Amino acid sequence: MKKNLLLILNIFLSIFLSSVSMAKEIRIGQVVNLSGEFKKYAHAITSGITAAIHKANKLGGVKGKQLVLVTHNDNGDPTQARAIVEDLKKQGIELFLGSMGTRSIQELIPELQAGSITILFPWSGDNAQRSSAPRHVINGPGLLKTQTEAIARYVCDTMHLKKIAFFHADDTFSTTGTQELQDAFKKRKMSPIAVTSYNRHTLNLKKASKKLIEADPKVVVCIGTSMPAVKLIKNFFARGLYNTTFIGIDSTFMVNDILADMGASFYYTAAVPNPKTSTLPIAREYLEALTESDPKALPSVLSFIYYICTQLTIDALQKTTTSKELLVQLESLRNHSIGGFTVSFDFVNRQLFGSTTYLIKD
Amino acid sequence: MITSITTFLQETKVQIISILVASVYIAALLVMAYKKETFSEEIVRLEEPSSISQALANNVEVGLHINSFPRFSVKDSKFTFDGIVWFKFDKGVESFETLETFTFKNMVIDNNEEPFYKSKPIIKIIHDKVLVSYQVQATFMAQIAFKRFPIGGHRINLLIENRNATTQELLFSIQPENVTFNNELLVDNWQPIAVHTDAGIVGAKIGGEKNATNITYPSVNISMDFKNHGARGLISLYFPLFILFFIGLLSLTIGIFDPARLGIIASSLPTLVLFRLVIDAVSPEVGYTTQIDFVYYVLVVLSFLILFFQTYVILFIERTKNDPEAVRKYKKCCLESFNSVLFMGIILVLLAIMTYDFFH
Repeated sequence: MKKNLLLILNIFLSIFLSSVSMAKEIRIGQVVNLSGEFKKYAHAITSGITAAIHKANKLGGVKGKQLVLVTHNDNGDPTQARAIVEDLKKQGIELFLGSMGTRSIQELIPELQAGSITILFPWSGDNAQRSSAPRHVINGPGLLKTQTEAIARYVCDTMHLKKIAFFHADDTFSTTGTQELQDAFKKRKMSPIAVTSYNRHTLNLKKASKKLIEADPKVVVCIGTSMPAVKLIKNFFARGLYNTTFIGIDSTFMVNDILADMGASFYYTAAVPNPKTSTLPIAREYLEALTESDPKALPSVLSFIYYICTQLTIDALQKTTTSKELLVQLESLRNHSIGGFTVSFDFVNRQLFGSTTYLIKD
Repeated sequence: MITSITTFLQETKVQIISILVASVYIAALLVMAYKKETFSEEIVRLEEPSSISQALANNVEVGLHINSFPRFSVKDSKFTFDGIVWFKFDKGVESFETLETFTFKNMVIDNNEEPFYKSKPIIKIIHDKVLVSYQVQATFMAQIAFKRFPIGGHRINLLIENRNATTQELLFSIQPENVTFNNELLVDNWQPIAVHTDAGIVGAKIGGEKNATNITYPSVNISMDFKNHGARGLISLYFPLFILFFIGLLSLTIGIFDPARLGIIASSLPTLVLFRLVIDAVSPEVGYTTQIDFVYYVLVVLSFLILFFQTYVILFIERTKNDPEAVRKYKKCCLESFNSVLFMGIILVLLAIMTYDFFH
């Protein structure tokens, strides 16, 4: 009897203590994929968010409350993502920031439609998901169409090169992106001399590389992640083709860092300028905050994007109390300057970010 | 006092016991050294990758299973092993095209053959991981230190590296548990007793300290400690060596004017010198002095000392033939005292040197 009484008291005490601690902080959830190559992207996203949160907490947090990022790994499995979100909801977390994976987000559409959770700036590039996004989603950058358009414009109008080839992953996202790329070049009356895909699960590039090398293009556009692009460039170098220019979409931003001193000519698209070279106050602020929160973290465009996204969220949280108000606040942003970087909310695809696509060569 | 000590030392019983005690002590030292697990080779430590590499590179776990050593020549520092090299990584993280280009450091190419045999990959999917293994047979040279030859174990360092991958692209990781041996692994008297591993990078600084021109690639080092379980080499070298020396030393226990003294040392010393041929035949070809060399030189020098003394005694007998009996007796007495001091001195010097050598 005495034992049971103690147990009940213990439970009440822990509930009381946790509610007291919860009241002193705002907890934000994040579901990421820490398996395989996605781990590096997850780290980049988290480092940007953490840098902004670290800075905000140092300045007193949001309305005196400290911000806490609760990150969980779903291994890219939508079922796991749902279970994590359910669990976090029980802990009182309803706001999610920088979660990863198109399929994982799709799995949560019923919750988003019901408004029981709010997902801000998910890292997924599915166009269909954007056009039919529920109210409780605010998309970040990641639209492929603007990137493919920028690449086609640069190759045709700036580089004036005609021997182009496309290299893409065999998933739906990359295949759709390649189609959009072809359309963008078609508008300029150009077509690729070779289009090859690779199996993103095996990274077997032998066939794809061979086809491209035989075609000997002057420009290769890569639609996929960083490592396949790295391997392709290395294969080109191994065959003596070191004067080919490679251009990738935003998810290839690590190529230049990986190839480091190889001297390859690689460009990638990004929704932000290069934070390492940009003179924007927000870029300098980001680099300082990143170094302070994690000196080992590498600055990157993805991390910078999520620094901006988190800053926007924190600014909105300062002015609101409910998730509904938060959404209204974010939706109301038009030509809003954040440290010199202009963002606008687009009701069509529910995207809140800048409209410029940058082409970066580190 | 001195007279009583020299008289005591002149006792044949004392001298024989001294030789026996010295023999037992040296044997004990050798057994202790043999039992002690000492390795002259250093564990290779690899350079740590930069934080940029750690953040960007894909991590691949490496392992090695050794089935057998078709060749295990410690003397030539040459080893051939038959085994399985495996790599474990997250699905979609690394291509076989990159992984299959792994090599071993200091591989030996025999008779214009391929550097090493590597099978097609054997692939297994274990949950979210991919396990790729290759059956391999390779011959490699290892840096073997023979300072303590023929005593002690040897540490064989095997480096697995991938020269086609950069350190920003791929990094290896390894744990000692990832290195396994066939239970029935039989390598003469050599048995693996411990494994040490390290992962990191190796490379070449082509342009000095300029990072841009440096070439680095991922690597793992596997240090395998092998203990010698057979005492044959030890006994076959040290036993005859000390027997020959003690025979020479026994010449000091015979009566001072006995002409057999010179005969004994004159026969044991050349045999000892000739024993060098045996040592050379079994010793590895190294430029430095090994333990057996050191012991051999000490015994030869001490034997020479005995030979010089015995020669002096013979000359002394010849020169003092015509001396008065009293003078001769006195000189003989002095010579006997010196003989016993020399005998005990040689034993003490030998024990001191052996003790220093084995514990140093």
